[in-house]
Amino acid sequence: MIMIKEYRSLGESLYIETLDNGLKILVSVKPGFNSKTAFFAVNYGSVMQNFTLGEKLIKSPAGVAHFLEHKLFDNPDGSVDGAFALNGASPNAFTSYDMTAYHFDCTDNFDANLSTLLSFVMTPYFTEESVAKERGIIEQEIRMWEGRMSSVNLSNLYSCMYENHPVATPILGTKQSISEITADTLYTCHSAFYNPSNMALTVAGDVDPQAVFDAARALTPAGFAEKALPDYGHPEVLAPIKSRVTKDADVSAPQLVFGCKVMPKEGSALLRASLVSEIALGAVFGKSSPFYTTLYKSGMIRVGFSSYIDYLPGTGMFLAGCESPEPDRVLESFAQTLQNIRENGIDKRDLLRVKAATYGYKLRSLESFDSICYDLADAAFCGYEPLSEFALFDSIDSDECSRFICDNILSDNLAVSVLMPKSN
Amino acid sequence: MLIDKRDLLPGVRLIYVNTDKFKTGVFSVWIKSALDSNTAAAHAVIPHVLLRGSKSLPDMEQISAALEEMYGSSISPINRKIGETQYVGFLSSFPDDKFLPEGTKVAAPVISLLFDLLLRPNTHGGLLLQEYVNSERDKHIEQILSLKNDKGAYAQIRLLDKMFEGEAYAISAMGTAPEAKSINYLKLTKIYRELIQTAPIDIIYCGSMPIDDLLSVLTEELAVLPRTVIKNLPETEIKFPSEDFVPRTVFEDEDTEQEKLIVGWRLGDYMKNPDLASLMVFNSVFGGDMSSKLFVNVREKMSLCYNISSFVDRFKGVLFASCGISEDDYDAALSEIFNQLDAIRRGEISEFEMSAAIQSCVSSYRSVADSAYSMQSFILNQLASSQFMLPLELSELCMRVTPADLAGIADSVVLDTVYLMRDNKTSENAKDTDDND
Repeated sequence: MIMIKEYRSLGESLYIETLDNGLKILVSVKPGFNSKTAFFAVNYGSVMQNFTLGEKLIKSPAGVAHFLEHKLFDNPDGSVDGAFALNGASPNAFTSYDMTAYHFDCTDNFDANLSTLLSFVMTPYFTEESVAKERGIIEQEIRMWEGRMSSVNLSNLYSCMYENHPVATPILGTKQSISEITADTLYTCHSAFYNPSNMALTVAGDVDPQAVFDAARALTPAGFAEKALPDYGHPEVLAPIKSRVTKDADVSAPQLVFGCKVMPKEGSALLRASLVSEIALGAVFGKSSPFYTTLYKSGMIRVGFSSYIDYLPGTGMFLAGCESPEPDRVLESFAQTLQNIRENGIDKRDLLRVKAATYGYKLRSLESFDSICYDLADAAFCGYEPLSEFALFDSIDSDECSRFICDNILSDNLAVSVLMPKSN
Repeated sequence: MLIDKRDLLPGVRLIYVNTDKFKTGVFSVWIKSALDSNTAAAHAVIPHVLLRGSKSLPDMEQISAALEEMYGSSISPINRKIGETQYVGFLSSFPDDKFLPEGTKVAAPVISLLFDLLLRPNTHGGLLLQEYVNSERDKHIEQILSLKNDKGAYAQIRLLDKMFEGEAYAISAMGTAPEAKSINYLKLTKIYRELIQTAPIDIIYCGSMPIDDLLSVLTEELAVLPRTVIKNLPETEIKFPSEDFVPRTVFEDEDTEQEKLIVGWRLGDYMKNPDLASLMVFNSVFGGDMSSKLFVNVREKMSLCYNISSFVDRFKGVLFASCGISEDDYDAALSEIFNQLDAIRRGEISEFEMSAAIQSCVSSYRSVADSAYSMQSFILNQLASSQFMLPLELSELCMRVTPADLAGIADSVVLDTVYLMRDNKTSENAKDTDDND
């Protein structure tokens, strides 16, 4: 049954349908816009490396989800890029820890592009030859990321934080792990995860929602398929396995990242915790906070200090970081700020202000079609109602925000990774 | 969507785009000057210093808090280079008033705050505060030094240094570390005053505010803008290579995980009468898209790289192609890049390639009007061009581009510089091996 939801204060309307085969479809109708965006997303990311299908435990090499994302663009007639290009669409795809998504933007020929998207994602076609060829391209992609120091630093931090959870393994895998991937591996993982009931189709633009539902019904397989059950390893304790790693790197100034594990969450609890954390961290460590402005003025933070909470399947994490000539002074000030929140809580006026700002950021993010499509898919996979966070603002207060910080960010649980400039 | 252009003061023009389509409104002030190695860093630092405090909000906490109160509106420093002109100033964005609680208005207050920061800085004895200037100068120097952290972007900077030696185009909009080191509060105050008195200024607004309301805010705010003799901006110099020009090849060794290859060409005689639509379609066929010759051949067919793309700077009349490769693949990648350009020169452009490129350009111009940011960025580029065209006019022109037009561009292109950033670890190893031999 099609559900229509109007959000007048946000100027948004959503058309939602779940097909008989379990595919969730969410369409954000945007009258008067030329651009149209469609996301075909799979609840499958790099952390779902090991899984059970039926009775069988399958351990796949690191980097399969991403490898599959590259190779699905091949079909028996060649690459699907051409079909998109002829209809003026620019297709792309990404693999994250917990999602693989194929998407396109176009202004014309939306129906034809949507058909191409639905068909190619559901049609695996791999040969040993094409898999071997792709390995060369992905090896270059791995090297490109290995040259990005922010990515190296985060990877170093994860290796301090996590013992079992696969988030510590790079999304792309390694040169060694991708050498173990064959056409068969890709077929196995496609059949395990690319089931309509494990997927979502999200669309933003001036489109006819009924036509989107009809196309999806016609081009996705009927019937439910058995779902793969991912295994994220033995549950982690909140303490890190190592509290600090420092390495030399080709950076101009020291780069600091630090963080801790937090308890995982699901559904509406995840949505609330994400919003509470965003407001709380904004009030305590954001641009108008004494923490940030004092460090900025003393030259201890150069451009920005970022801090956020991220929830993934089987884990949650708090992460923060900046570039600083003296990372330890930033850490000291961070610890003092935490202590202050423990003793005094978050100031009510600060919270009110940051709440208004966060509302503005969220409202404006609805302007980006990519961001809407991503958020709708995330809502479908995490099990919360899309756009429902706007209704939560009124009920969030400084006590809840202070408690969130005190309960989740404990100095003893923090792990730190620093990249120091090489002495030459 | 209504577009209005008008002069507000000597050298100050407003481009007003009225639309109620967006949740975000954008207002930007672009102060223009000739790119000059003596002032680029100082110009870049000025908006950062001004964002530290004004007379009414003397400290950064107060400014950040004021913006948060205005539902997370933002005022950010801008520093861009278009051709050989430097643009500095502020870009502000704010939620459209109609989506905020009844009676809340933020657009006009944000615009007023922007001018407060720009025109009424926190000063002592008429001078910018030494503390703010030194702090922002030091951060700017660190930022220049940190450009090395991203090797792909750094390779592009090094190519510009080599290819445009002696031309203003080589100057980075951030300036150089030595120039930045020479900044002090006395010098910066002088440069700031001169800039706001004499520089041509473009103001762009895109949002739902009626023009009369905007003009009344601007009239009040600009009343304190001191204007003297407005400087003329020199045109970007377009070089036409002589027939005996010998292309350069530059190898540099850096601590990089992946070798970066960048090729630079001049567009040659084509720049005597260039056509923007043809250049955009040309770039799309050559390396601008996933259906381009470079992507399909160098990446998909030969598996030599993950990322490869081309870029045309129409203001300077230059073309670049860049990719990340293994050093062993340098010859193969370079010769395939040349092969693909030669193919365009011979008119070997399939119907598919032509149609895909045209569709891509049409689509990107048609989507400009879907966001206030892309609209103001498009307008800024159009203002810098000799002819002001709207996105839809350009998309129609793209549809008329022919393969012969593209062959004409490729035929005029002259190779200038091949740049390869090598991995110094591999290079040293290679040297060790030679020594041992």
